[in-house]
Amino acid sequence: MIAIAPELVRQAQKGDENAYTQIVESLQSPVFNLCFRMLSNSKEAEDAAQETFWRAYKGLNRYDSSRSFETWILAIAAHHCIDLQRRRKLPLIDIDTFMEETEPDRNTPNPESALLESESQSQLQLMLSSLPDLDRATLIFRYWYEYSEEEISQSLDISVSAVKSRLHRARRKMANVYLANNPGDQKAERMRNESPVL
Amino acid sequence: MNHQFYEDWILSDQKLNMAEKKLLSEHLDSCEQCQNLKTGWVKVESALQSAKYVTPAPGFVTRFQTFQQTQTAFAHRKQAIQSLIVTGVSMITILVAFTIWFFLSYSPANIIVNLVAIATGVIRTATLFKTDLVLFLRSSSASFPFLFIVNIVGWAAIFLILWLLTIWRFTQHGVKNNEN
Repeated sequence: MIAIAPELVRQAQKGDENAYTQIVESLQSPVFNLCFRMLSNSKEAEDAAQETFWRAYKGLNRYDSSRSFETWILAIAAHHCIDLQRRRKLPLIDIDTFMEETEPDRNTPNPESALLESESQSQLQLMLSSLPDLDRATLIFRYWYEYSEEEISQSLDISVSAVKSRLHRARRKMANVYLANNPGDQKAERMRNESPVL
Repeated sequence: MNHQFYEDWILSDQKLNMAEKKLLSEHLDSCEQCQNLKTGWVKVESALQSAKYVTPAPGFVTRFQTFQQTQTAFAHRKQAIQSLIVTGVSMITILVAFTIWFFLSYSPANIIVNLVAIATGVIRTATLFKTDLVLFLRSSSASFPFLFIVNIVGWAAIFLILWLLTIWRFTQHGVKNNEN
């Protein structure tokens, strides 16, 4: 992930709007990706990402420079998305929108592999949406942002042991959802391991 | 059979040593439940590791700048309204408290007598002040009245500029700047 220069943050803290615009430009993808993975809807993710940058802008003076700026802003995004979902308590995914957005470009050299990748990604998003909010955030930080357990713990304000147990629970749930959606894989794997005599 | 132990190994980030790998392999050969879990997790982990960033539609920064301007204007308006409400409510509260105290402390007859006394006192003081001022100005040097008026007008101008600057700052930056 892109690291923001401390000098740029200091300039933004002094009220330099151009410096803050540069920060938004650099962090738009990580923040939007986090919001999209959390909310599974691009319109809501866009709104949440903008709200995140606005909240960060208002709270710039409260930013502790001993922490990484990217970690700080992603923590704001994660908490905002968790709040949004607690408030709405509605189905998480608009699969038609998601399929449209992830529709592969037919002009790419290998449209078939692009289609397979898109299907795999939409399946991944469906599995993610089956997780409780905090478990999902934990898993997203671990795999998309390669955060350590300590960093996840700081970002989500939970203990390291809670991170470990949430990661474990999320992984088990994702595996089970995958197997439930792909019963053929279970069978194939079993057959591969069965004795040829049987 | 206790699967928890093997589940932890299957779902853990940490690499297993040779002995642990052997134990797990032996268990997987005999346990369909753990074997399924491993199959599912391998597929999911592979999808997670190959997942890419989803990027926003082009023009995100421009859209954010528009959003920021709207939110800033809204926040300033909200702060100005809040300040006016707080000031107004404080003044009304003080006025009401003073009125209640006043009517509880004095009888209506007392109040009327005192009001008349205050009114005549004010008129008498103003007349005396005017007379003293005229006498003072006549006895001082010729340039003094001019300097006196310049001084009064100067202070009035300073306070007027300060007031106008405050109003301008409220409309441009809100009551508080860059704060939640």
